[in-house]
Amino acid sequence: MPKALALVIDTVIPSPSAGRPARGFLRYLTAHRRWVALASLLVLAFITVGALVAPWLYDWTTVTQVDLGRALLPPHAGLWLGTDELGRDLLGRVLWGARITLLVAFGSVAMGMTVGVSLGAICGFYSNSATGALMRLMDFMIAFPRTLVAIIVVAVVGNSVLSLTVAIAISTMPIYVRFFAAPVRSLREREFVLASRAIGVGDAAILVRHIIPNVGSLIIVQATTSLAEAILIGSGLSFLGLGPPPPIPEWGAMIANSRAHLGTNPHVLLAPGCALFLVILSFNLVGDALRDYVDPRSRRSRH
Amino acid sequence: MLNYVIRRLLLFVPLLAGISLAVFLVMHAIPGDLARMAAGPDAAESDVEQIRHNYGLDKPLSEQYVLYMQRLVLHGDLGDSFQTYAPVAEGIARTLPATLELATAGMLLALALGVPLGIVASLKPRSALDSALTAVAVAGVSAPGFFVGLLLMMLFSETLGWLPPTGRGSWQQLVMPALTLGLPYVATFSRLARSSMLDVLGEDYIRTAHAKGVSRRRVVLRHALANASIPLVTSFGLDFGRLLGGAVIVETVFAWPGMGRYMIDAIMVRDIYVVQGTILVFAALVVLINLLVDLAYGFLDPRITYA
Repeated sequence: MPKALALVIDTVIPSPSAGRPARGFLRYLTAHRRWVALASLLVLAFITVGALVAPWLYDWTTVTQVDLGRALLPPHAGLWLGTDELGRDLLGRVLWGARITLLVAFGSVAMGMTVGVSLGAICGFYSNSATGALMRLMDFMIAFPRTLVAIIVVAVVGNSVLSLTVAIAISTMPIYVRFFAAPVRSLREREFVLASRAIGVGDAAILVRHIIPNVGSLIIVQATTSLAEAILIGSGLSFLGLGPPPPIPEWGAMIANSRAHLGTNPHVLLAPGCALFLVILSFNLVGDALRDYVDPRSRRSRH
Repeated sequence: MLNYVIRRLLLFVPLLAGISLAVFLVMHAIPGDLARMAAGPDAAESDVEQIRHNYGLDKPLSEQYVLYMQRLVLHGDLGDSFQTYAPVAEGIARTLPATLELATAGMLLALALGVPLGIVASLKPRSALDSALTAVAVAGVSAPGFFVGLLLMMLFSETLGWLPPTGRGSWQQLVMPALTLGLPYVATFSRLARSSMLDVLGEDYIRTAHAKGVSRRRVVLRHALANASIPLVTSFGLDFGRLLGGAVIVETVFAWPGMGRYMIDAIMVRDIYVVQGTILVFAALVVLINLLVDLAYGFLDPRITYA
């Protein structure tokens, strides 16, 4: 009988649906004249497409092969962003760099969020001394510089695209735990959860079927801003020489290499630097707009 | 109050012991033979054995940790560097002042620029200045420190020749590193100052102050700012940790001889005692700042007592 009862309860006490379709977000942006956020979405779409088609425009040898005969050429027709100190096409390297950057960013956020949201949901759902201690540990990790945590992880697991991803995931995971524990704690006391419990639904099923879906919109907003931060940390580690080894084109490492040519060839710095800044800025701006879209309260406080 | 401080300081001991154990285990989990890496690739096998013995690397891990902690607690000894054979404590004493100087300068700059901008924006919400500030704030947190640093260097050192690009010693050399480090926090502080001022300015006691004829300047600076500063102080505690992380990168950009650079160089060559020592000091700094922040609440809001 519980199934039928659950159906009845679900119709009488609908669980609050927080998710709105993506199409609504685009309409919201145009309706509220959020042109900056729309432009940011366009920038991100453009760069994603560039990253996806990079292998068809420039093969791996073009972006890695050293040709000192054409080193440090300024931008001109055919070589739209010029060449770097080893004679490699900068536009090709920036596009390939976008692949690495987006791969690391999406990979680390997916990894960190899977663990962080699960732990946060558990910490919010059960309050006992064990979850309390876990929250304390997370608090401390949040106070500790994330870049340093990521550096320590890379020191242990070595430098590759995968270890960079893991390092960012571990260093940002505590934020998700902290961020999701609170809404889960308040959801735990809501009628639809109590009702499920009353008809004998197990804890695991309540968490997966009722609680997690209800923080879905929070997850999407947090993920967008987290992508910006993941790119910031990842490119920073790469700049320090802790990223994927050369000749892999990574924006942070490309910027580090541009140092010696600042005065004479600014394009070597500006090409990867502007790409990096633009991507981080766009993720932040889209994240802000998404937050206003899913949480009308923050929209009001804005104006 | 004194009891509170003592209790908090006593909590440091298990916390730092825990961190040291975690870092110790992590550093020893690094694949590869530490003694061989310390000796260099062409060292004879007997030399490697000698180094292994001298650093106690042939002992069981638990014994190594006990020995490390004994030396640390009894003599304040953090071990010796594998690379230079110099004591780690000496290296930290040499590099820590540079990092603190940079972090303090960066923070002060962020506060000095950010808070006044935020206050002005809060007095005229939705003005052109307010929206400009919001835009600059997003740009500020989005710009990677190393990119900003190199742009500044390109402009002020390479093109204009006003400031020396690297090194430490004169105030001119501090300008660009402090600006690079502080810039994201100008954004954070101005946003935070704006929103907490807007909250406070709507309170009854502010209207009362206006009504009894207190000057506008005094209402804003004395009545409102005192209460609006509490969120700022909280954020300061959290941001200081992040700022130290940023300092590692800024030190690299401007060849600033600080502790972050000392640590990164050690990580590159797996110089574990240096890595362990610097991380411990970073952790102690973070914990200490958070204690100071908690104490600062009591001065800002006399209603808060420390039980």
